[in-house]
Amino acid sequence: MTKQSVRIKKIEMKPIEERLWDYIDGNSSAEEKIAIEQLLQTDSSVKQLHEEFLAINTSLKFSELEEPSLRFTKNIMEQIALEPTPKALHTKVDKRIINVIAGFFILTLSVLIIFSLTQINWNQGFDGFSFNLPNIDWNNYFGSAYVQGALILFVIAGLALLDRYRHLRKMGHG
Amino acid sequence: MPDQTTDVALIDQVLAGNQSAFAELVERYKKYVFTVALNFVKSREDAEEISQDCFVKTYRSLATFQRQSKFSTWLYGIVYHTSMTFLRKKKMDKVSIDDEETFIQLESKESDFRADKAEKKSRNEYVQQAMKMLLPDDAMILTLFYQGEQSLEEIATATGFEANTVKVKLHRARQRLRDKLELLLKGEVKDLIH
Repeated sequence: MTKQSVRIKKIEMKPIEERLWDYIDGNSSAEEKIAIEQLLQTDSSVKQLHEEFLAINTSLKFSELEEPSLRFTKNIMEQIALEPTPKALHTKVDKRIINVIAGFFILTLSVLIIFSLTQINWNQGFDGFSFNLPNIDWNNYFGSAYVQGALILFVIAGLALLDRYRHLRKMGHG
Repeated sequence: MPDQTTDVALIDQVLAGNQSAFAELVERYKKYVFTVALNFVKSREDAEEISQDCFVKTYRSLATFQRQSKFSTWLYGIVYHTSMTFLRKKKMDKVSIDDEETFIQLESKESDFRADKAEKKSRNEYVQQAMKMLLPDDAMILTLFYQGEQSLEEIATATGFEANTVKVKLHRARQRLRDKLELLLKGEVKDLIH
């Protein structure tokens, strides 16, 4: 059985109502469309069903909406007059900030992993493994109180931004 | 349906402190929101309460609207979830939202349709009547798809269902609507197309 004949078989297995609705909605594949159009020409019961569906479709499209009471808008505005004005989120988290923070951590981890791999003596097997970090005097870089303070603020800001981002996502979906 | 840019402009005005701009949003969407709510609760008083609640909730959370979807999609999501919560609180789920018989009985009590009336009804009136006999989910999907002009993906976003699930639900809703029409017309569905 060819792929096309398998596809046609699958189409034909779908109930005719479903096929007709897909046709009316414009969701039929090219093969389905041809098959339906052939049926509409040859099968009067399908044609009748199609007309019935079209009539229902049209009625639904043009059916009137229900109207609430005359005081509806006024009631709502009276309620929201007591509410604080929703404020625009000027501190909205920029996704680039999140990407930069993530990139920093990924880069740091990658450097550490690559460095550790270069330290391994592959010829001596596991027993010969030793990990020697270069002897860096970190105090030269991070000894300054200003640097330490800045790092602490950076970490706090990053965590606060992440929390705000999560909260906004939760509100957006709620 | 209102232009997306205009909705966003109104939202910006509200966020800038212009509360009256929100009244315009309410005017624009009140019928849609009320109709969807009415599909769920079948009572105008309850639907009005839910609709007003939805707009107040929308106002409160307006700053969190991320503009990744249409405002109408976001709004209908609020309506859907608020309506479902309302139904559960009213303990109508004891009767089951899926309990077709109960909804038919409820509708029979409220409906002014009389099978013995000789009056002629237009096609649209029969469809409207049949819509009121549908289950909340069915009526909601038909309203959002046809009157709300929401795509299947947008309905999926609003309700939390998968897009394929929405497609299946839409198909079933149409079928059930047809069944209700047949019930109303007692087999005279063909008259609708003439």
